Amino acid sequence: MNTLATAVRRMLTEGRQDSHGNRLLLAAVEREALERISPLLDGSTRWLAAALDGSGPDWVWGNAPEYASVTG
Amino acid sequence: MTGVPLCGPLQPIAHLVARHRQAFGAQIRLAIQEGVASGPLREYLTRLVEHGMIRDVETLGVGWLPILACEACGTDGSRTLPIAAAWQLIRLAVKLLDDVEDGAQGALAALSTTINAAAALYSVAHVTLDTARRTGLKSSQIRRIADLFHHALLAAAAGQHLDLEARVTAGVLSPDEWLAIAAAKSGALLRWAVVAGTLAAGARRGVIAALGEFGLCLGILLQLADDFTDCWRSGAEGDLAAGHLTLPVCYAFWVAADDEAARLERLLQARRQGASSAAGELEQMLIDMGAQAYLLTVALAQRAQALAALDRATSELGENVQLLLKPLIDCVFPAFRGLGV
Repeated sequence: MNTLATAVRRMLTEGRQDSHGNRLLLAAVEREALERISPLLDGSTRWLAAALDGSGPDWVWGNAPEYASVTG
Repeated sequence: MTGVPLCGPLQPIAHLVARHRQAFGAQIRLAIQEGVASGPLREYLTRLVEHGMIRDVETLGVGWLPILACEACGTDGSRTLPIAAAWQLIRLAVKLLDDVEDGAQGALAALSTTINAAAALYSVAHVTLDTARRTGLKSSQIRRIADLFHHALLAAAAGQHLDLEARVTAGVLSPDEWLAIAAAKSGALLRWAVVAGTLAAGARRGVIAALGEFGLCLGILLQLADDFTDCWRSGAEGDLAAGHLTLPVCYAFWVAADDEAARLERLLQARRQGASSAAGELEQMLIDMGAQAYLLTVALAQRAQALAALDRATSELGENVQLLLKPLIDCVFPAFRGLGV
């Protein structure tokens, strides 16, 4: 988790190639996840932010894991 | 927990939910009726259950874990109904205590009532587990399930304690420390819910371990989704507003340069004090620092681990495991559907 955090930050600030060596330190499952997410990191994650604002597709948080308030 | 409509990939398990739904709700009501003497407390708990848990079983969600795990092992899920009822009751109790700890309960009287109700639900859940002999479980199975229940609850309490301590001391957690707390607070409970279902089905040790790992990952995903929602869902007044340490904040402090850390601290402080103007700036700063990307990467890693665990169980039990349990991953973390994974 800590190493992955550093890898993600380096990917964003230094570019994908520069972080390659760092990514090798990650567990295989984390490396795979990082590679899956990297195509989405084309400068920003606006696609997700837009969805969260309600202007995007409802699949993002259409079923947010929030309990119904049962005490109100 | 809100469930999801039984459509798309969830359609194949619609019949299973339909088959057990009524009995599941009845079992929860029975647990309150049998466990609590007639009077105001029973009426209060009944109201809580009717508004929360009964509605919850109408749709697929983690409340179904014991039943689905049992069915995935090839055994009729009705064997687990008392276990599933106990699981729902403990989820409600934990939710009530969470609300108290997050300061969502308001006045002292309401707070005290909520704590008392949560304590009662803990006891009812334990009493309900003991009734599993009615659905054909052996005493030894019930003892094992109850023993694991105690350990899961203690792990959750230990995780919650660490989380609360960090709030009191205003300390900063590393991402690894956040993960340890999430695994304890939520992972241990969901792991128990799955393992209890497999034990009721008489599953072999390897299957129990694999599906238990699936439950653990699902619990961590639940915490990730919760933190994501609290940070970035429009209008959310969650942990970020309360100044609690969510993973995006833990991440940001972990990777921040000194000047970024100072600015982050200023924004968090302003947010805690109710400055709504700080909210947007803080949310954007977290995005710019890569917190969304990080959280999604962690979620994908947990998902991959959950799927690997399901694969191990599938090799012994067959495709039913995938059919019944895999959809829960998207239930817990709906954003996966948008990632095309």
